[in-house]
Amino acid sequence: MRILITGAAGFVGRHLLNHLASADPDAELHGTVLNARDSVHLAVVCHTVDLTAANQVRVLISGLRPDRIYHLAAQASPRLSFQDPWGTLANNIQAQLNLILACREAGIQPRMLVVSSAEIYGPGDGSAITEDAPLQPTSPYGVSKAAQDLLGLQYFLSDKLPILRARPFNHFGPGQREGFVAPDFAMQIARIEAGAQEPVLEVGNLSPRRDFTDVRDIVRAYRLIVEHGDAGAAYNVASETTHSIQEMLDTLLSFSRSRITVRVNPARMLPVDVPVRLGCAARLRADTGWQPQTPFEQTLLDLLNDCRQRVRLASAR
Amino acid sequence: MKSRRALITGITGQDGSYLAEFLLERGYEVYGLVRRTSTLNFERIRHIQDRITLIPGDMLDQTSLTHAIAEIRPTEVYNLAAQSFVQTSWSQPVFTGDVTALGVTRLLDAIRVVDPQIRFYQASSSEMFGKVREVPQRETTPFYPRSPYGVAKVYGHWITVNYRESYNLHASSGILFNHESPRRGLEFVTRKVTHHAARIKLGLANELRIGNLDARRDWGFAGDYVQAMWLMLQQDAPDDYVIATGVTYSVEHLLEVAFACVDLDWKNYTVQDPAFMRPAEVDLLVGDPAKAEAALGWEPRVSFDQLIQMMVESDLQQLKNSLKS
Repeated sequence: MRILITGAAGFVGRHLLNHLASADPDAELHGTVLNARDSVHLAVVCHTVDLTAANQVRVLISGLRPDRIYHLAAQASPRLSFQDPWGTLANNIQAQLNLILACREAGIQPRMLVVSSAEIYGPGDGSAITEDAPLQPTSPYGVSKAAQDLLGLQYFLSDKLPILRARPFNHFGPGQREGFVAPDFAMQIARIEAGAQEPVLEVGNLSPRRDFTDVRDIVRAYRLIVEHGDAGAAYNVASETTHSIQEMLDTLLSFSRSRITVRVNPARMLPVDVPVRLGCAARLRADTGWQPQTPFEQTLLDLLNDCRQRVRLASAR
Repeated sequence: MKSRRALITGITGQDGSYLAEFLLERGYEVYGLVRRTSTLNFERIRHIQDRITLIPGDMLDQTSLTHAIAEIRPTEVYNLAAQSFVQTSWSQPVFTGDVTALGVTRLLDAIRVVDPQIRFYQASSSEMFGKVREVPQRETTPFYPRSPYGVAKVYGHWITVNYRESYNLHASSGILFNHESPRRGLEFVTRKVTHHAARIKLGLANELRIGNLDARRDWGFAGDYVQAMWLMLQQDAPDDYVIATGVTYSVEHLLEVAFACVDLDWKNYTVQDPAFMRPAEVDLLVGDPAKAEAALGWEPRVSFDQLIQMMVESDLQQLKNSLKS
């Protein structure tokens, strides 16, 4: 079996590759990276491809004719999407459509995972969000993901392409880059511990409650969806429990011996902050047997240790 | 005695981790070069992470290498870094050449500039022989690489020789044949077989799909091979050495041994799959380690059967641990 993962060098991509390498040891793994120097040093055949360039995608897909596609590559930050809405929309929609069109042209029907997002849902009333909730994105990123999601549905309906849609709620874990709340906190703590930052931790809004899932549980869900999900269906991926940002902060601080002052920085606030976002993953559980396995605290500890490592490397002369 | 300090590039790989262990046991201070934005997996060195120092550096960035050498002032440098996945060298030929070939020049030049007394080891590869010109292959056998990776390794080999002759560096190159261990990636046939044998034993899989059964390889144990690297840098004069067992085994024998370790008959679980057949497997890669044996007093200690047994046992243990958690 030949598997293509776009965005192979990204946060989720690296975890997915690790998972696939052990779950499907016979699979031939291919990954796309934007820059050759991001090549991942696993047993993955890396291809330097700009997914927004239709001709490059066409050459890749017609040459590989993959049996599975995990389309992870995207501009993934809601915050960044407010700074560059057009770039986010163009990038995420073009990459998705180019992949689908390239498969059509090559006459192949790989099972393709479209990575949508819980950001496509509206604020809701705080109760568990099912896949039937109305689409009401609150960021350009959310709109781009809604478009990817609907393109996936449309080409399933119009062309019978076996496309599956994953709608992950917040995910976190080792390897996540700054720009997301968990690594933002953990990197600051690691820098403070290393003496590379004043002992003041800057935070945004601490009251929102989010449904956090460990990235390693997320990638397991992705594979289960691709292998066992219903083509055309959308699947929430969620732990079905919420934690506040405050709880995340307190947990991370409890792992550190440093004395740290917390300070609110208004620049870290999002224009629209949904108070509670809780996912319902009943469909995923029913169709694939998936369950999250990693406790919230464990993920944060792994992330903090990873950030300590990164800070050690960055501060080494 | 002057403290002995080693810098290893590619420390997170199979060989890097064994070499780091080996040098630590001999009282070395061990440094590992890793990319600042490393996406590498640190699994193989996790158990020794507290005893080694990782420093940032990039094989594509001359300044970072010169800086690292100047900062650490190692007595020995082991260059194990490479884009070493042969298939990726086809999709990323330029990048492969940049890291695997030019990276060697950058490192050698950093040594030349900072301190030409530093001893240097270059990880050359039997992939350089490719379409073999003689059997068995020795140090004098002409190279005929068959992939962009092999071509890049040939460049790395010759630039090492060139710096040795031009600048009088103590630069040696080890032409290593296949060397395996429990830390081998699953993409290599040995580990694929031992991993599957363990999975089948534990009821986690029921068959193993595999290509040519009669393909033969010269397989040694990585732990033995890193000792050869070290020995090369302890000699008065630098030189090049083939490191191999000199013996080949077939994939069929590998299957027999691996499945025997779990009391199963491989024939009941193995399916030959044309998808895994490689068309051009006609060349017999087998090294002649006579020079290393004579000059270094090196010889492989772990036999093929012991190696496979070690790998199967490790796979069984790992799988049992992951089932528990």
